[in-house]
Amino acid sequence: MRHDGAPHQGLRGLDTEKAAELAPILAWAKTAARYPKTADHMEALLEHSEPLVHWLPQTLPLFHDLLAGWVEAPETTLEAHQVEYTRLFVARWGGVPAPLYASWYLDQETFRGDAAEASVDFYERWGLVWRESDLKEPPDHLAVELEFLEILCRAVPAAPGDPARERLSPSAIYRDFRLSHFDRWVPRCAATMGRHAAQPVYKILALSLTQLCEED
Amino acid sequence: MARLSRREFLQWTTGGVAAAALSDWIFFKRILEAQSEEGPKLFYHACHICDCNCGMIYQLKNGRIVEMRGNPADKLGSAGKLCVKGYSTPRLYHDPCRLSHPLQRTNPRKGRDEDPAWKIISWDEAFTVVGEQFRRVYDRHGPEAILLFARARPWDSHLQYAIGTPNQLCHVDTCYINHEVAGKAVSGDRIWGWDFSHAKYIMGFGYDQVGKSKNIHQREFMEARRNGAKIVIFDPRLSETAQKADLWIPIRPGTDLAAILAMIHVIINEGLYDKDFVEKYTVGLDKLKPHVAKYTPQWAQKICDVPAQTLVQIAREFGSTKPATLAYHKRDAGGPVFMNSFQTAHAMLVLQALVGSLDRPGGLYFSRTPKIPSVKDVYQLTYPDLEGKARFDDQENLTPLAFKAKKAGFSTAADAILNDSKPRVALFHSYNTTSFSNPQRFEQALQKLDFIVNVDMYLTELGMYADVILPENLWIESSGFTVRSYQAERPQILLDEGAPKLRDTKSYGEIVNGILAAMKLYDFVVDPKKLTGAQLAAMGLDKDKLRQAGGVFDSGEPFKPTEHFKTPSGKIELYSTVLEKAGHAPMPEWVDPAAKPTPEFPYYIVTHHLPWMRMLKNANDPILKDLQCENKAHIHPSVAKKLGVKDKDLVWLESPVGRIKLKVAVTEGIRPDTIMTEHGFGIWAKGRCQGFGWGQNEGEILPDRTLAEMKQWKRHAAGRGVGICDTTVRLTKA
Repeated sequence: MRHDGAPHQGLRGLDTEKAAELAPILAWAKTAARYPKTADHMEALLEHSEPLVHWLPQTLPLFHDLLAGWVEAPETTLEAHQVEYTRLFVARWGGVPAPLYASWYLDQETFRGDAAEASVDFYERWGLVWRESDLKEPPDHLAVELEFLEILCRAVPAAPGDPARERLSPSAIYRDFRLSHFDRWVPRCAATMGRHAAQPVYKILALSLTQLCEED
Repeated sequence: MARLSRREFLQWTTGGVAAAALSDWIFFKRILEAQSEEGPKLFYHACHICDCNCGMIYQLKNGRIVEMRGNPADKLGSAGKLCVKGYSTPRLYHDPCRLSHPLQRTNPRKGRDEDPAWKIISWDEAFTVVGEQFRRVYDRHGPEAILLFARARPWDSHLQYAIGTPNQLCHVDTCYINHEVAGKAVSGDRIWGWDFSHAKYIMGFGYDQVGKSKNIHQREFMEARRNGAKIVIFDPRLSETAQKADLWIPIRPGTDLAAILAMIHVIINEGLYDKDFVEKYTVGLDKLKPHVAKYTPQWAQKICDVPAQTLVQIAREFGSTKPATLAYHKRDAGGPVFMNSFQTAHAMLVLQALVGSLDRPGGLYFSRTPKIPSVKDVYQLTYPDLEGKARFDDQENLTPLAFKAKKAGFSTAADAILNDSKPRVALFHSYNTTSFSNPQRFEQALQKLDFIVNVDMYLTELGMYADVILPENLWIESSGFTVRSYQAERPQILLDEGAPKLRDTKSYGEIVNGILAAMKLYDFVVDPKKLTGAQLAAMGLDKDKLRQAGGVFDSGEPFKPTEHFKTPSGKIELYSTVLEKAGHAPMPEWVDPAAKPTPEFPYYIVTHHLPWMRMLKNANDPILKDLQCENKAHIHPSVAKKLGVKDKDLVWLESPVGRIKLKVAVTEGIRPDTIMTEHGFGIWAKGRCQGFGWGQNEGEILPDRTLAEMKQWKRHAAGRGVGICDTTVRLTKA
């Protein structure tokens, strides 16, 4: 199901070219979906923006805004993004509009619900174990899931693999994860994020997530 | 800045800024060997939602609580069953609204309509900010300028004594302080056990622990019911407990004292008291007898609206049935509800002693808890001397027993802060503005403070006034042990095996020591993890032994009734020398409550909290909220008719303090001169996404107290109880 309620048209296979295109975009989005603790974090978002701008040109004016703010007043810009991240995703007077984890959307507004367990199962299928980071994002957090998709994209082989093991190929896991999990909640999250975001990074993140889920 | 072209922008962004590669793995590692499927694991813990501390067993699978039940080995507590609050624990554990990170305010303006504009900060940053603010005040204005709103629990007390401030304020004067002060003054100990199951006659005054779903009370009470005990409940409304009684007596609010004094009068005059017990274990009957001579049933009838003959009959039954006991606890008529409630609590204790069931089977008893070394003993600390340091809210030492027994102070907190320049900063541990009567005034007081730190699990109303919020573990995320204090007829310890922490939270021990380190009070910085092991070792226990015993250590000691009471005389003092020395009435005496109905405010107000509520701890549980999502104005049909309203119509409930809008619930189960509404609603902070916006906070119409009022009440309000319901209200159609 797409975020606008239209039925999902299916997901294109993840060929080498597509995977190579998406990997840096997913890496950027993963970083944007984490709390911007430091100036380095913001600079990384700027420095690695090129693939995203190529992929989604309408983000360019927003990157311009971000850069303008950053050049003019980096500390103010950083704090504005910190406050916005907290307000949108973590703790807000008035309620958090767009929590960044699947269980909120798929398990009746729960933290670490069935959806988190489903994510962990997918990670294990690809031989990965989720580990807690310093910011304690849960296993079904957007940043974690984006990193997982990024890892899968970077693992897509140049040549087709053994057809007998197709079910366990990165392309197959990517497709399954997207269809049965990721695309069931991220469009809703992105739509809410887009409506409430004021700072460029979160407007860009919302746009890119929507594009990711819609282009297939 | 001029707008860049796409090319210029890309040149800038790839122009050598040394940023980290984005493709590093942050959240994953490779599985190096086959992972065995993790089966559910079983853990023990005590429920910390209320003081019953029921033993529970829960199962974890992949970091999730998949099952929870009462621990059958906890024979004095849950006995294998939890109440509705305990069963909400998994939902609290997985509650998305719980705080996940330390937060710092970026908007300096504070108020109900101000967005604090939080940002996440690290724990190191949070401790640094709090430490700097507290240390600055400590150096410039002295430790007294630091207020601690916290309970008298080990790490709370450690923080207080390490800082050296006398100004710790605790909620007990809106809770059980009267019973505690009266118990300690008259009998030398606190009453914390209720052996209803062996009682033949039970009498309560506003007692409704059954309706509050206190597991232990419910079980004992229903066992008494099954055993055929006669149960009499005095209450202005037909509470859940009253519904299960043989006799409900709708007494006039604030006058239970008169009824009890009259019964004492009857029991003494007719020689119905337990002569052996009174002679052997009490002193002061010679003074009590002439003192209560004036409190006749006929005198009481005029005050409490209960026929004299009924009072006589109940007094005779109560005095001649063995064992007979009062049922009392916390916010009953002897609790903090009226300004004469300390006298009521005192009178209850005297009546209980007269019938010989104080710390006796079938009666009320003191807790038998194990001797556990304190934080001070375990870490061999020497705290600054607080002796003689006056509290900012009791410069004249009006209520020394209240502050000695517990920290108290909520009743006059707003008044004391608003009228004193000394307090500068405050820490709140799990307290909220909704914990206070007249919260609007309390919020004015908060505006006066320079800096506030709030330790909590949720973004609460108090958090809206905080500068820094420190997220605490949910109790089930903390490990250690719990001492059974409710119903502890023998020493018991419950094992607490913490579930994995789901967020970036800390235990309160870690938080306290983080603050002390940041304040550079290094002599008092200890490793909180060592406390549990040292305390268990002192009892000859460890976690493995507790686990092998099913999560419960039960001493099995037989109940030994107290022979020597911890009072100056060694006996129960019917004439209390302790109260007298502190400047309070040594024997219970009649005093009118502070408020009486007037033409402007013609109704009494009483409150109640629902069985699934406890200090808003589980106010965010969506299932519990659905049981009753808002509070109502419960009124008698005659009042409804007079006002022209019916069920669900909206009314304004207004007192001299404020007003709230509620739906009406018409019921025969309330006096025509009384209105009841439930506590635990009206959350406005929106940090509890489920609990927000339902009902109204009845605290908005209830009074706080001034220091001047405390002076007036010196003789009678030894417990410093706030007199929550000691106001009157009017009702108008909305």
